[in-house]
Amino acid sequence: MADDQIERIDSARAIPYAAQPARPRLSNEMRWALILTVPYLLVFALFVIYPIGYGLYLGSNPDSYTRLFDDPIYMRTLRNTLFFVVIGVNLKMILALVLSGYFFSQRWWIAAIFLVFILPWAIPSIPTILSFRWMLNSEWGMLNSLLDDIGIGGQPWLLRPELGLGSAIVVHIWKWLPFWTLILLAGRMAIPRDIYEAAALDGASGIRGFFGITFPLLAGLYLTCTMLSTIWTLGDFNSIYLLTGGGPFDTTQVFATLSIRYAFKIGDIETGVAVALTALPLIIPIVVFLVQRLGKEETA
Amino acid sequence: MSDKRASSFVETALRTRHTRRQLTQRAALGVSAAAIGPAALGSRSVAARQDGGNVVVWWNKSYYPQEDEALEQVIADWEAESGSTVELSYFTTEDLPTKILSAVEAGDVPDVVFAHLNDWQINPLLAWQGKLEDVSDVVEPMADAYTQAALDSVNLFNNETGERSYYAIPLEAQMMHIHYWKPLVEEAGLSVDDIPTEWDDFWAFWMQIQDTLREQGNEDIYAMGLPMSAEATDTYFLLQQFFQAYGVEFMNADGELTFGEDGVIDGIAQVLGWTSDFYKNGYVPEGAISWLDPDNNLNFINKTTVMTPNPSLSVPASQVEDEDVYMNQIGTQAMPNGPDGNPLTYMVSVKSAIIFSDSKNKDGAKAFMSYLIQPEHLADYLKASLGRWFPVMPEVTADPFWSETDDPHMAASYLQFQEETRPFQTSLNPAYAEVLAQNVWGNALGQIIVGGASADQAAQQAATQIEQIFERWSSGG
Repeated sequence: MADDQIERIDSARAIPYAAQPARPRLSNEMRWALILTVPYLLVFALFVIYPIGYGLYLGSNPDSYTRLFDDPIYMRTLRNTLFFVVIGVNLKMILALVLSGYFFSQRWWIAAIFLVFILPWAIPSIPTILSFRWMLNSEWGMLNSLLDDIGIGGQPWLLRPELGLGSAIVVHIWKWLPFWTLILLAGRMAIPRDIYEAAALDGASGIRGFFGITFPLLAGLYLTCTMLSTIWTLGDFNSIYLLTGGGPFDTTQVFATLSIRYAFKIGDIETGVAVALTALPLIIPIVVFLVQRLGKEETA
Repeated sequence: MSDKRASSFVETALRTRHTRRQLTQRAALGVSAAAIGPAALGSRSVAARQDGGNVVVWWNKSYYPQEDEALEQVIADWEAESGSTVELSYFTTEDLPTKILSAVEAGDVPDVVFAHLNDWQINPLLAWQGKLEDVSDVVEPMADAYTQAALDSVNLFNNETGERSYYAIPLEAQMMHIHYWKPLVEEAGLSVDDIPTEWDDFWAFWMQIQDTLREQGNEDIYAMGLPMSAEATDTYFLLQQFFQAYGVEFMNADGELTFGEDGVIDGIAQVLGWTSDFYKNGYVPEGAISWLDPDNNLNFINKTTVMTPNPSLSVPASQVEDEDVYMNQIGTQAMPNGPDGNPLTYMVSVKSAIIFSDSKNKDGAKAFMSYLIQPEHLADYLKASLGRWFPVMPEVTADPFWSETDDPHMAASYLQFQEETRPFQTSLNPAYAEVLAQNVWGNALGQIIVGGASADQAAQQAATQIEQIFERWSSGG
C-alpha cells in the first residue's frame, strides 16, 4: 500500500466519533407507526400470504396439470366457464344498467318494488337456489306445471347440458342483479341534476340524455363493476353446485365446481387447486387492469 | 398392559357403580369373548386398555334422532367405565369426506371418524397413503364375530408399508333392496303375490304395471325409480349389483383389471344397454339422470314410481310414523334370481370407522372402538337405526330384533342378508375408489342416454377411463 493511502486511512480514523455525520434516527411518530403496522402485517401474512403461498405450493405439481388436461371434462368445463362468465356477467350488467334507470324514479311505488327486488340478494343462497332446483324439476316442478297448464310443453330444464347451464345463468343473474343495480343506481344518483336540466333545455332528454350524459358519466363505474363481477362470477360455486350439481353427467361443471369435485370428491387436492390456478390467466389481467384503473381514478 | 394402566383400570372398575344393565352387558361380553376363542382371549385386548384422556370423534349424522341418542348412550357408558371423555361432533354424509380430507391435509385430524362414504371414497385412499392407523389389534380379536365380507372390506393395502392390513373397523352394512307400493300394484289389477322371482319376468312385471296405470289415466307414474345420474352413489351401487347379476367380473382377486378377457367388455355393454333401455323406453322418470341420493326415495314416497331399488331400508323407515303406510302399503323384498336363475350374490357396502396414524389419542380411540364393537353395544346402536343398517356380526343378527321381527321390511332384509354377499372392489384395489368417486359407471350411462353413444362404445370408453385411472395409481397415485 502506498504511503499516501495509509496516511488517508489514518486521518480518517482520527476523526472523532462525535464529529461524524449523525445517522438519521427514527422519529417517535415513525416508530409508533411501524409498531402499529406490525399487527396488520402479521394478519396479512397469516391470512393472505400464507393461504396464497400454500395454494401455489399445492398447485406446483406438474403431474396435476397433465392429469387435468388429459381429462375430457376439463375442456368442457373451460368452455362452460367462459360461457357462464361472458353471458352471465354481460347480461346481468346490461340489465342492471337498465333497471337502475327504472329505480332512479322517485315514485313511492317504485321504491316499494325496489325493496322486493333486492330480496334475492339479501336472502341466503342455499334455500333459494334449492327452491329453483325444485321449481325446475321436469316431472313435478312448478315451472313445467305452469307451462303445461297454459298449453306450452314443459322442458327438461336440468336434464340437458345447454338448458342446465342456461338455468344456472338465470339463477346467477337473479341472485346478483339487485346488488349491481344498487351500485349503478348509486352511480346515477351521484350525477349532478343540473347537468340533466341543462341538457333538457337543449332538447337532450330520454334516450339522448342517456347516451349523451348518463352513459358517458357511468362508463367508468360500469367498466369497474363488470371487471369485479367477472372475477366474482368465476368463483361462483353455489349457482351451479346447488342447481345442477355439475350434472347431468358432469356436463355443466365450471372451474369452481370442478375444483371441489377433484379436491373433495375424488380426494386429489393438488389437482383441485390446479383447476383453480388454471383460471389465473383469466383473472390476473383483469386484476391488473382493475388496479391500474383505480390508481388512475385516485390520481385524477 | 403396564402396571400403572392395570391399577388405574382396577381403581376405575371399583369406583364405577355398575347398573344391572352394565353387569348384564359385561356377562354377555364374557360369553362373546369365550365364543370368539382362546386366541382372542390370549391376545393383548385393546378393549382392556384404559388410557383416559379425551377422544375426539367425528360421526356421520344419523337419519333418525334415536340413532344419535343410542351412540351417545354407548359413549356415556364407555366414559363412565373408562374414565375417558369423548368429544363428539356430527357432520352430514356429504360434508364428512370434505372435512376428513381437509383435516388430513392440515395435519390436524380427529381420533375417530365414522362416515357413510368411508368404504367407497376415503378408506382405500388414505390406507394407500399410509395415513390410517393399523387397527388389527381392534379388529382381529373380534374377527370370528364378523362376516367375511365385513373383514374383506376393511383389509386394505398400504403403499407405504407395501402390505395389507385392517385399516378400518366395520360397524354396519347395507345392500340393495326392492321397495314397492302395494296399492299401486293392486290398482293395476295385480297382486304382490304375482311379483315374479325370475329376472326378466320381474322387470317386465313393473313395466306392465306402468302400462296399465297409464292406460287408466295415471300419466305421471313410472314403473321404476332407478337412479341413473353421475351424482348419486346409488347409481353405481345399482350398476355394480347388475354387473354381479350378469356375472361380469372386471377385476380379479389380485385387484387387476380383466377387461382383456373374453366377454368382459361385452358383459359391461350388455348391462349398460339393458339398464339405459328402461330410461329410453320411458319406464324411469326423466329426472333420474340428475338425481342425488335422496331423490329416488322422494320420487317413490311421492308415488311417482311404483317400485324403487334402494340400498338400506331408508325408504320404509321414513314412513315409520304412519303405521298403515309402513306396515301395509309399502312392500320390501329381495332382488329376483339372477339371469342365470340362481339367487344373487349381493354387493354389500360395509360402513366403517377409521383412526388416523396422526391421531393424538390412538390408544383412547382404539379403546373406545373396541368397546363399541362388542356385540351387545353394537346391537344397541344398530337397533336405534330402525333397521336402516344391518349388522356385520352374525351374533348380532341372531338377536330376535332382526331374526324374529314382525317388521315386514326388516324381515325381508334379514332374509336377504342370509344370502351370499361380497364387498365392493375398492378393498381389492384403491384405484377403484377413484373409479367410484368419478362415477365412471354413471357417466357411461350418460354417454348412452344424453351423448347418444351405443352401449358398446360407452362400455369401451368406461373401460379405457378405468384403465387410465389404474395406470396412474400404479405409477404412484
